[in-house]
Amino acid sequence: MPLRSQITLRLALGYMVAAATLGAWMLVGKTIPHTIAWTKWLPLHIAWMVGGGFLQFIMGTAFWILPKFANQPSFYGRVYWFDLAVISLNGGLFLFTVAQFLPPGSFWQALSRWGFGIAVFAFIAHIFPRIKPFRSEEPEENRQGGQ
Amino acid sequence: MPRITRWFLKSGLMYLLLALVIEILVTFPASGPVGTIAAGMRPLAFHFFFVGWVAQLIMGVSHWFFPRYRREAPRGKSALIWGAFGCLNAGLILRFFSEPAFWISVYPGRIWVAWISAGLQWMGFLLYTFHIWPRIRGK
Repeated sequence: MPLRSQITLRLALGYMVAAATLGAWMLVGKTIPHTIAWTKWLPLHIAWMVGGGFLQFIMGTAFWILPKFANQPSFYGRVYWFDLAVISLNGGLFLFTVAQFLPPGSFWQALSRWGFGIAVFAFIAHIFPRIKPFRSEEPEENRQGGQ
Repeated sequence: MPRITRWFLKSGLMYLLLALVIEILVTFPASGPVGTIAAGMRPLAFHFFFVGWVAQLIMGVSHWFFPRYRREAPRGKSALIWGAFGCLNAGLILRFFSEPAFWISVYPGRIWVAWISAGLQWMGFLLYTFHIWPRIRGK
């Protein structure tokens, strides 16, 4: 498993546990009225679990498992797009977390959404060319060309 | 495919089905009994979808094909992954009997059930993380 996948998967697990911890606390708060303002934390719970956990886990696994290129400087293709995706996603999640402590509609919250958007765009830019047949599944003439 | 993966995937599909059934019931008129009960179960439907289906799909498949742990225990400690499966599913089932607000009129003791449910789901994610962490590695 490449180092980029290892880092991304470990980050994803961290977010999953954090989101599950926050979720458990919110569920407890839901049963005791007027104690924990659980609705305030709902966007963060969703962002951590779906964006930080599930999406990041899928990104890390896809980077590792999808077909690679034999004739490019990196087997994994244009890795800078993947790096940008991981940095933007985690940057966006960090800003989104900070924004929860600020008044609604803050600049940082808007910036965090740009981070999520750039992350999705960059991940698609990286992974799109890798959605192709495995080398062993390609016609013989393509394989000899090194593609 | 290992047995625990099959359990994760099959129970995940059941939760997907349940989530969709609740979402279909929500389309009933909100003034009627079916619509009222279904509306109270929407947060539960989201958790059936994301925890019951998506998370269990991720857990089951990653246990199946992530790099081997050790030659003598290729997929790591089975107690951890079975524990994760048990906690997650028990937590979700207890959530069904505790989270929707209408249960309060049926039995006030639902508060304790909700707390246990919260703890079990949290424990499920924690056990899975302990299980899969050592298997995230290079060749």
